[in-house]
Amino acid sequence: MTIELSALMDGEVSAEEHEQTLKKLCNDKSLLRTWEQYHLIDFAARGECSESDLRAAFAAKAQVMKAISPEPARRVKPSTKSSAVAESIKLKIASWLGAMGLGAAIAVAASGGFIVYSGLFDEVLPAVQFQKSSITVAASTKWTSDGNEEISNKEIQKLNENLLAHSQGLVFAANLYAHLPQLTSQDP
Amino acid sequence: MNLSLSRINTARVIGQLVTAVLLLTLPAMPTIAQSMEQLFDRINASANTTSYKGTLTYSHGAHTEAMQVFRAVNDQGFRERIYSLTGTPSEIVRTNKAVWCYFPDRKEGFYKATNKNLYRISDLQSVQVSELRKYYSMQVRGQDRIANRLTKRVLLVPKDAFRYGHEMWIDEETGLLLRSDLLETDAGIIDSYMFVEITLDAEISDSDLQPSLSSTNASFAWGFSLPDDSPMTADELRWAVKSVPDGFKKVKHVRSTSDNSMTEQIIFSDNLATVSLFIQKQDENENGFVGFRRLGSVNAYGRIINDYHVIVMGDVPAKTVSVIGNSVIFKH
Repeated sequence: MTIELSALMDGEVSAEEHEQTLKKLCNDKSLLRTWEQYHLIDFAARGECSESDLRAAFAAKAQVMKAISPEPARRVKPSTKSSAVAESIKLKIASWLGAMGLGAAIAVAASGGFIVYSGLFDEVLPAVQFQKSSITVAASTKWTSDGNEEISNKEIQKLNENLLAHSQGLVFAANLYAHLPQLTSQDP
Repeated sequence: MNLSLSRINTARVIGQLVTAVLLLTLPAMPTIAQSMEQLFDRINASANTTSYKGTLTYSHGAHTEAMQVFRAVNDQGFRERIYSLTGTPSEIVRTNKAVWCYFPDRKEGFYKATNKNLYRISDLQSVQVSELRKYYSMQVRGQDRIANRLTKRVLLVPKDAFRYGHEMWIDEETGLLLRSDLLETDAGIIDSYMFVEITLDAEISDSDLQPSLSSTNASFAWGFSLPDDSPMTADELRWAVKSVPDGFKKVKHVRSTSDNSMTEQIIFSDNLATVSLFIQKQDENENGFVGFRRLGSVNAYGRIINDYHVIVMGDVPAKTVSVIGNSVIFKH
């Protein structure tokens, strides 16, 4: 039945098979739930069901999912390929848009503005030490070690897993930082 | 002529009156901190009510990524879609309570939801200039033009060796950040984000905010993290960090499960830089790495404590991750 379900999801069934599989789906609540789980997340992203519906579905079915799904709530496991790093980079960009764009940067902007408005905060800065050169760190898509020792694929995989978790933390932190006024007003 | 003199005299009188009123009310004028808060509120409000669409580049090492961004803000919050224009297609859709990421080349995605209580309000409010000023010297470096808009350049020079420097280009009109460089003393610019074009208060259609990448076939696997990965209680905390570099505060401490192994993650931030500490039971078939690793601006430091692998990672200098990693202790 799993194969049939997979074919149905891919749209690779005839009209007759489609009907038969749907009938089976309707008579098998476990399969129906599996089907729903595959689609609910994407439906919510597209606004075809609300996020609260999605969360309610997850909350009610969490236990059922564990029983019926081979990998009920797995985390994305990055491979050793550079795609995991690329993924983290995308998340970094998203976090920048949130946290830097609307949170920390606001603080900085406020500071910059305040210097202009008050004239009280002008600091005697040390000479700027940064080399204003072009971008210089060349090997930024590969992990390197301080002693140039070889890094095993397993180690890279673990580093990438952690990098992904770190980036996910950032993207969500950014999301919340970006919503400071709303959160402040809603919190009791 | 008499009329003009009369007007001048009237203006003088009004001016004197205004000056007198100002002097009388001076003790009640906003303090420096209040003025700062007012400015903060103004810019914050502006940033949170601005919808925009634009193209953003992220340069790191010899690589440059380009992304298209749509961001719509309304009374309910915001919705944002970020779509990669270079390399393998990928997409991120984000609202104020959830994130969806699509990575079709790997046929994978992840969905992450949260409750507002995951981050305490006091943590959010810690983004204050007075805090940042303890660890960064700030200097306004004049004006510049980014994405065809006038910006103010602000340089943040770290006062110690535990963080990178930043240079930011802030939109004069709205306060939005249009460019940001991460700076290292010896290396110069480590990475750089920049809008190359942006349309503020743009009309953004529903379709602009819809994910365009398909994920509805069976081979596309969703990983997800639900709001129940809530912060751990004091009794649950088995690990502690004795000391962290000044300015870094614990933002979050969560436990997650993957492949029957459990990982604790503690996130520290100084409001600009963020560091994650991971603690995981060491795999019997694997020796966890010890020492330093680096990927672009990210430094990682690993060590073993009581059969546990401790990894510290973040966009900070190596010194920062080593100080945090060497401060980790097992409580019980």
